[in-house]
Amino acid sequence: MAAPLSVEVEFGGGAELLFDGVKKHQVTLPGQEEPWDIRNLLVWIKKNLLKERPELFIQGDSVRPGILVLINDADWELLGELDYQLQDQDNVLFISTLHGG
Amino acid sequence: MPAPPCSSCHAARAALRRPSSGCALCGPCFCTAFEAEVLHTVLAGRLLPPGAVVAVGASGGKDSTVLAHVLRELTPRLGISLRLVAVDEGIGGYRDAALAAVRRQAARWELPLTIVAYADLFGGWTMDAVARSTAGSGRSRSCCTFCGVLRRRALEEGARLVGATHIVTGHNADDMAETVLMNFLRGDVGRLARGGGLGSPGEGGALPRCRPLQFASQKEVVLYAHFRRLDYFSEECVYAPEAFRPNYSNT
Repeated sequence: MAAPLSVEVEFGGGAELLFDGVKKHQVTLPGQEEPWDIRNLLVWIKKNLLKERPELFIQGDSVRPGILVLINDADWELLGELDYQLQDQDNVLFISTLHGG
Repeated sequence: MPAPPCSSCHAARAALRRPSSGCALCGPCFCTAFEAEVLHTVLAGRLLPPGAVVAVGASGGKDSTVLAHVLRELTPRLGISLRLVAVDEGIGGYRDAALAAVRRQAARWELPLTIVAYADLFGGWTMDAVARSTAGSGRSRSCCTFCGVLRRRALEEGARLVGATHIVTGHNADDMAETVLMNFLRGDVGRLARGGGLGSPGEGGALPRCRPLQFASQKEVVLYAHFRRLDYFSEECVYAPEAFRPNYSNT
């Protein structure tokens, strides 16, 4: 049984527009059987934070191409992407690269 | 799985793996490498000679924000001076917020800013007026086509107004790839043939133009802006959903 986690979820680069324009969200993830990873964090975000047009954020079980994911300021590609196991006080930042120039 | 150590300074943990080289670098080492590559693009292509007065096409978006910031860092090495030129297309609710971002940048970086408006240059035509006049005519999809032509001209006029000798724009490698794909699918042989270089040397009396970020991927442009904590505007233009280009962005 994984204990509840307190993490900071952030959106930028225009992705925040899908979340009522709010960039920083302090969230508490409830305790559950399996450990929290990015894969089930995305499911939780879709259910609890995402306000509109989910197809602009989620594609399949991952993020839409063109959205960068940084975990504690490091590209998630270095950390196992969807399989990264969240730690208490982690910061997860989603940046859209798709808007404007 | 912890991030590997930075392969440049070996002191910090890496923040990204560069797609071009496979090198894993920390934020500061990545930013230094990114700036060195832009310097190399400019020097190797002899794009901006010492003494050049360079007009940066500034939209407030990520690409021109990164371009202006990097060139400002490189100013002593290049011996150039910078002017920001922003274009007000007259798009209610969109451009006003973007121009506010450009004004903040100009103030923070202490760079002179000039804003040229479609309405002043083109006999009172704003982009909103163009959109109203093309709507329902069967030409409504080409709103961005008009805007592209007008913006190119407006930037030229603005650059001349500030005494610039060169124009730079923030096009990145992803933009270049999109353009190639778009011209290919439209069968536009003329544009395909012209599009290969580092810019245009200034034919027909136009100022020379170049794109110092054209070898930088979109992802790295965004990460550079993030690690340098740059403030940029990231909303989509209200007319963008009509455009042809986004069809190629994710292919």
